[in-house]
Amino acid sequence: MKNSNLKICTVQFALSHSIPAIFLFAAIGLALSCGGGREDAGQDAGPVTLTYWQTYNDDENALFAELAQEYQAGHPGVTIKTTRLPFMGAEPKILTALATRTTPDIARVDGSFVPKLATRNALLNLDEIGPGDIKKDLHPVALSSCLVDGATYALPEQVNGLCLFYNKELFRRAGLDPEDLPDSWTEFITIGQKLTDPETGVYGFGMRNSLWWTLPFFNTYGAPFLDETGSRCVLNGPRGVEAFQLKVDLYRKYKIEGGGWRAGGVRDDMGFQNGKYAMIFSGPWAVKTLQSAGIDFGVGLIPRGPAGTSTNVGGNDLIIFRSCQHPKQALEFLEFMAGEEVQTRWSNALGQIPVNVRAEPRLDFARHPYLRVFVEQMKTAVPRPPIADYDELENIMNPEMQAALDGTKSVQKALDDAVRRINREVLKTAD
Amino acid sequence: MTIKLRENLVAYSFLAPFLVIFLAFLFYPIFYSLYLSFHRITDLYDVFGAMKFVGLANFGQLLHDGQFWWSLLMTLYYAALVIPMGIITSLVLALLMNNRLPFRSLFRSAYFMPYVLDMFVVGLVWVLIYSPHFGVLNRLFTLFGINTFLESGFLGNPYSAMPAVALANVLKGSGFGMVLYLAALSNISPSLYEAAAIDGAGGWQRFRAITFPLLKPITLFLIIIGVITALNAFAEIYAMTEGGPNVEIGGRALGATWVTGYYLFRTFYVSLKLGYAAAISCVLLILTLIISAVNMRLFRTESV
Amino acid sequence: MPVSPESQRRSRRTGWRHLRTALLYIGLILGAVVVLFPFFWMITTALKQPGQAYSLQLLPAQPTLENFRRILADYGFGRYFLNSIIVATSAAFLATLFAALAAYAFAKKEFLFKRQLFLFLLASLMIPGMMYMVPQFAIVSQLGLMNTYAAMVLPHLANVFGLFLMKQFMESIPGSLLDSSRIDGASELQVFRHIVVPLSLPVIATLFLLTFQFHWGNFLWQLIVTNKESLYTVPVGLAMFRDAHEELVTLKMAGAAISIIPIGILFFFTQRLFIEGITKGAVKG
Repeated sequence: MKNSNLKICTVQFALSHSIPAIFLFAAIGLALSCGGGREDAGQDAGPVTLTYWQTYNDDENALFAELAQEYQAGHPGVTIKTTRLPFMGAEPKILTALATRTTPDIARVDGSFVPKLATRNALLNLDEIGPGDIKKDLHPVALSSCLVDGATYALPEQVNGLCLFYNKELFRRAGLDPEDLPDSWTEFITIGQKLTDPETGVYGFGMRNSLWWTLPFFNTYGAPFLDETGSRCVLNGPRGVEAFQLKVDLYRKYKIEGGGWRAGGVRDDMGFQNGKYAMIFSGPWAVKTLQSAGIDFGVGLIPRGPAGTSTNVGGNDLIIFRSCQHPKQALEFLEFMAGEEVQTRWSNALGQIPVNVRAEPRLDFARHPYLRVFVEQMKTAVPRPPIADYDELENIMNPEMQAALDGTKSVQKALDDAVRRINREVLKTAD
Repeated sequence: MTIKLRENLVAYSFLAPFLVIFLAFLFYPIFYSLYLSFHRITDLYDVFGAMKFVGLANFGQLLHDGQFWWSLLMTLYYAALVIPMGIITSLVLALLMNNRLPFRSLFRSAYFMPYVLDMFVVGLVWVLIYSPHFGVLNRLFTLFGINTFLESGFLGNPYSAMPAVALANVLKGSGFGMVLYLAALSNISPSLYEAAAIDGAGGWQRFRAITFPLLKPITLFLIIIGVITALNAFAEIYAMTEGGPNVEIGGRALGATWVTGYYLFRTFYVSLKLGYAAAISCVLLILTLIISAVNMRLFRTESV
Repeated sequence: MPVSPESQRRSRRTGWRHLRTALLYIGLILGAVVVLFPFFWMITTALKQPGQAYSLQLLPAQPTLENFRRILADYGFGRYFLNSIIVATSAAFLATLFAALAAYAFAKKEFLFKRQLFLFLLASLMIPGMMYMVPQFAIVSQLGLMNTYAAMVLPHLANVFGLFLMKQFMESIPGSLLDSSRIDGASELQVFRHIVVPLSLPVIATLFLLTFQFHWGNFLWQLIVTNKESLYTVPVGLAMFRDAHEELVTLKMAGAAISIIPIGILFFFTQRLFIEGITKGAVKG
């Protein structure tokens, strides 16, 4: 008797509580199934969808939309699904995607990010997918950021470097010939002094402090970042010290620099637009803004140091994530983007430097006069030091360089301290 | 026995949804965090699967991490600004409001409303107000001839950055403390004041002897809330300074608003150093518990 | 007739009282101006022409709704707003439901470990929110829930503070009401649905409001758990907008307004519930 009572109670219990339970699980189930779902993992056979996370600005995005359409028309069965990411802040999104396994097939990343991803197994080795014939057509400097230990983990899509931008109007006002650019650093100083007039708030030069923006100085002095073995940082050698001393002197000794590197100072591009700085370093990305602002400017090579003219290298590369289900098709797309046709079109439309050397004879210098200088400059550009965690270098060097600019440390000491920390923390070699 | 079992079952089935979520997302994570803090990420393709056990290495690194200790200092600084400013503002507002005034509830709503808003969005608005050159506050300051913040704005100047962030936070949250104080003030019987007045106590003495002690519990509560706010501070920093203008300290660049909560976020979200971030979380937890315990002990002995 | 010193003192006192009231008012108004100024500035800037973003006009000379239109239509904020509503509503509903169910058990039932469980839950209030960021992310991502509404909502569905509020309220429901309905044959769930819930509507409404407000403004968690633009809530969308278009000030303020105005309006109509709800828990806590 008690048993049957118990049974009835349990049944009643179950019934009376099943309804809320069902409701509950339905609610949760509904919530679970709603939402974005996962990134398309692709199918084995049939049509292929490639997901591409890109960081183009508005102009690049418009051009890319055309190119993507043409690619899809020429490759039936392949669909390119694009997601736009903001240029700044794309890297955390990619890291999160890696952690949550929601990565796309292809992404456009800054050249400095490639080694970081490659050394941690996130990317496909392109040499294992295809023969890579296109590599011989690619500018070595552009390809440099894609290579990690000799293996290719990306294809370049865009390359750039800093050149000298100067305000022709301010040159004229100072009585200088606007077509006669400073050819060497010595000339740069002289011309800078003529242009500087603290009373009107005009300075010959405005600069940024970070390592990447200082590399032109180091490179024009031929100061090596790493020694021959590639395992020790030697930037504090004599040439490095000279190079950096020059930069510091521009501000402290010759006083031709207007403090653009300061926190709270007027940044170089802003100051150039407002006529505060007569000369700055900048690159192809700034041309359009300056032209629409009506600035009468010119572009020249970085002034010669003992090692001639040189500059740094930046740019964007296309990577394929290890999670990609269609590596062959993805590589085809990468080679399309780095190919002669696309690079020529891209350069001629937007005035950017092509990564494919076969595009160079086809460039429209009449439409983009500055392009001639950019392409010329890249011939002597020196790529970033090939270190996986490039941003760690910046984190260490930037405050040291700031100390030297502030005058709280001598140039030698700042570089010594920076190099010591780099060797210890980043390269992990003994002192 | 059957009835007892059935009652327990019924009770627990009511508790079930809540408990399941609680255990999975509020209880288990504490231990999972500890587990994560003993590991490091080695592989970005198989982030969680290929984590390497490193024992106490993350904590060891934390010990030598200048950024971390600096962040604790900045958090302390932030707390030292936000807690007194907040308590005084809330108290003053409550004292003002503790009078029979028409439209009192309108004022109460006005002061309280910012509390329910999202700190990130509020912070973005303050960025506009603190802007260099054309920001409203700068224009006001230049009227009085103060030009120090013209080029950098209030958030770009290392000395004003933290106070500026603290001000935004206090103005947003002071309504909360005000309502609490108001409730407590209205509970104080006016006869106490009358008796004191008859005994010859002036306004200030009455405040010190009667009002303030009776408000101690709320003050203690607000202090604890303030500590937790400082240790958790993230949204306001992310909105306004992203760690703050850099100051040069001993050869390192350190942010003037680089609080621990924000450092935790950067370590986790920007660098994906999950193990290290978990270690920081654990330390944060321990700190919070210690501080709360100390707070309670302090105030309990005093009020006796 | 000479004025008596008594009436002189009285009129002086009244005069002083008037002055005092006036001073209090001035203080309160000044305070309100300072506290509310940012929001006022946000709205006026959102209504200004883009070129006038930094102008000092208190009210825009040529007010325009174009910023709102653009940010809703061209920059995706329409979708973000929808997401915010979906997330906040479903989270508020589920959290309130779970808290009510659990609170009923605590308030009106006896069960094993009741006291210990309650203290255990209460202890969790001491834990700082940031502490949960990393482990919750790890859990959610390994469950494969990234970029789902479930992920945005689940971790916050156990609201201990809400449980506490509800338990307090429900304790005041006379047990005799429940007993008599049980005698009439109602199941526990029916008792809950037909008696406890209707009687607890004030606290249910309060908790719904509070959790809605929390989720509407819950920035950090939504940021780390969504990677897809179609899922962003308004604060997250605003953060992305800020990163991509820092200089579009008037649009940014319009986006901020879209986040703030709805909750402001909600607050305005339900202030008493809000204020009482928050303070009641705090005072007892």
